[in-house]
Amino acid sequence: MEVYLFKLRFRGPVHFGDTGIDLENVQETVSSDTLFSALMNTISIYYERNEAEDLIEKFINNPPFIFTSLFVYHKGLYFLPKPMDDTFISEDTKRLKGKELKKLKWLEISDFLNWHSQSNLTDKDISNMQQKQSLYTDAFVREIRPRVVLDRITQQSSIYHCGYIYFKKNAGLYGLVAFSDKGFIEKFKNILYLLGQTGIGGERTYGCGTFKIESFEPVDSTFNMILHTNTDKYTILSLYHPAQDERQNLRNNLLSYDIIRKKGWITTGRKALTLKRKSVGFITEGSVSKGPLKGCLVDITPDNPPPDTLSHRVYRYGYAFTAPLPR
Amino acid sequence: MDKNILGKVQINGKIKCLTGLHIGASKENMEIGAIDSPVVRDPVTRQPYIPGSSLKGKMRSLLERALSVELGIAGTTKRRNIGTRNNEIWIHVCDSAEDALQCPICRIFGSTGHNGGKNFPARLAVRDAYLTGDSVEKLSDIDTGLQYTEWKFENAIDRVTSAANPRQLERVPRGAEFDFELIYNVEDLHTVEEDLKNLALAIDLITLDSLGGHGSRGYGKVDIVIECIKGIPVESLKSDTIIAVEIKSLKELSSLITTFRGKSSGA
Repeated sequence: MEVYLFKLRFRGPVHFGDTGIDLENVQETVSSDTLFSALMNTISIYYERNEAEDLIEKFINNPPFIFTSLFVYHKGLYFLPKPMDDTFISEDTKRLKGKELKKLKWLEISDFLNWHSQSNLTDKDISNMQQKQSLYTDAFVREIRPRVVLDRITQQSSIYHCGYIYFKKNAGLYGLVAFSDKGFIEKFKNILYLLGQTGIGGERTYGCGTFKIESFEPVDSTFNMILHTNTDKYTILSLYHPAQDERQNLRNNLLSYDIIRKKGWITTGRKALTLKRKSVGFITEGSVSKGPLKGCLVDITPDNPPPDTLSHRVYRYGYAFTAPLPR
Repeated sequence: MDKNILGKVQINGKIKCLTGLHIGASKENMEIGAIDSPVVRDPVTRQPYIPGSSLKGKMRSLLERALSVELGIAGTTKRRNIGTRNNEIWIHVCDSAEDALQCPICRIFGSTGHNGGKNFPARLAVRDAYLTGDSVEKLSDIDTGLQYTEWKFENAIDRVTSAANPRQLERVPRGAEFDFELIYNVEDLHTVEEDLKNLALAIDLITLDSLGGHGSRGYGKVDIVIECIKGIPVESLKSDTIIAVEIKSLKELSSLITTFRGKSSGA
């Protein structure tokens, strides 16, 4: 496996929709299934349709590369979701510092590395982590913009609101991608570049979500330590949907986890359909398991789509990108 | 039929404010004694800007009105109420992607399907227009008590009692300049010319109309200067080395369209 780190710098505001009222709720990160769908649509727009189908075929059998969700970087610090497992923390610390620990959602990489080896979390450690997390929340500004639509004749107005995220200078999103087939390295970079031209997320018609690839390099030593350690616990850095043969053992395998339900509309190439895809549950980033996980591509094609609307199957990406947790 | 991209047309230029410009922001979280009607600002830099949605919405509505007879907006057929029953907002939207492909408006600006019809994603992307470096420098020196903007006091007077009803508005002063960028996705060759001509018309119409609020009282007169139009065929996008044809004004369109010709064998 060759692992690369890619950093994206956004050229304007972004809109990554979240469930909630209308367009107001937005989140600052992009989950792996969204990224996969965006990449596939890019292929089918810029290349031939069958090229996207070939790649889907490869992913169903044996994915040539897997990737994490996109997380925030700010001023050279990289953030990862806090692993949900806290069995190693003493009862005393939990009683005294439970609230502070609960509010920690994002760990800077060195803290992430030490998370499990710190059986004696001191107050200083915790306030240190909090301080770094404040850099996380400082990386972007959330804005709700009032928007209006006017009647073409009477100029009667109707107001609504839309949420946007602005990343500050030196901040943006990054992800890790692991290639089992080295032939795909250049290809992946190329598709990512094209995606940057079109934009990721919503409100693209107003220029949201376009980005530049700030860097695309093999991972450095710190990240290497995250990916190669001997351990008996793993955390997931992408959304994960268990494969058929994993489901039997899942209850024993997962130590702590959270579930998210993803739903939405179907887009095929540049054409968006007024057709809802099947909603599907994922195990979220930060969940912890006893062993490595695999995952699969989920078929979410609606049962009886109206004729002539959909000429292909629709999939959602659920491969797990796991990182061992050092003891 | 798949819609593949044949290339992109990138239009860059400047929007110059010939009168004060007011694009309103939300009044939430405002303090007592603050301005009645603030303008939108970039939350990071605090500089006023022109949202892409304002520019695109203005272009669309002006073009709809210019072509209103053809589109049936003035009549009763091809328009849709996107408001509520009590607050009707009528605009022109095609009901299916097939209709939108034939429609000069929906083809450029996009449409949402209705009664099982497909959406037609916009071919045009309009980015937020930010203040130019020169304007930032100029505006940061002004002495109005507001950052980069001016206050304008307005007053309504009762016709009988002469009781005053004053209000304060915030606006970007005359002379400010914004950089704008439009990206048009080329999807087929026989509509490029019409689409780009309509785009040019919409841009011209804005200069004769106004941008932002209070246009009937002189706000928002702008001059739009197109500085560079680039035609980028899809092959050059893929290969990372951009070979583009550049023209200076939309009048030289035909030379731009040849860029995409010959690459359309698959479409």
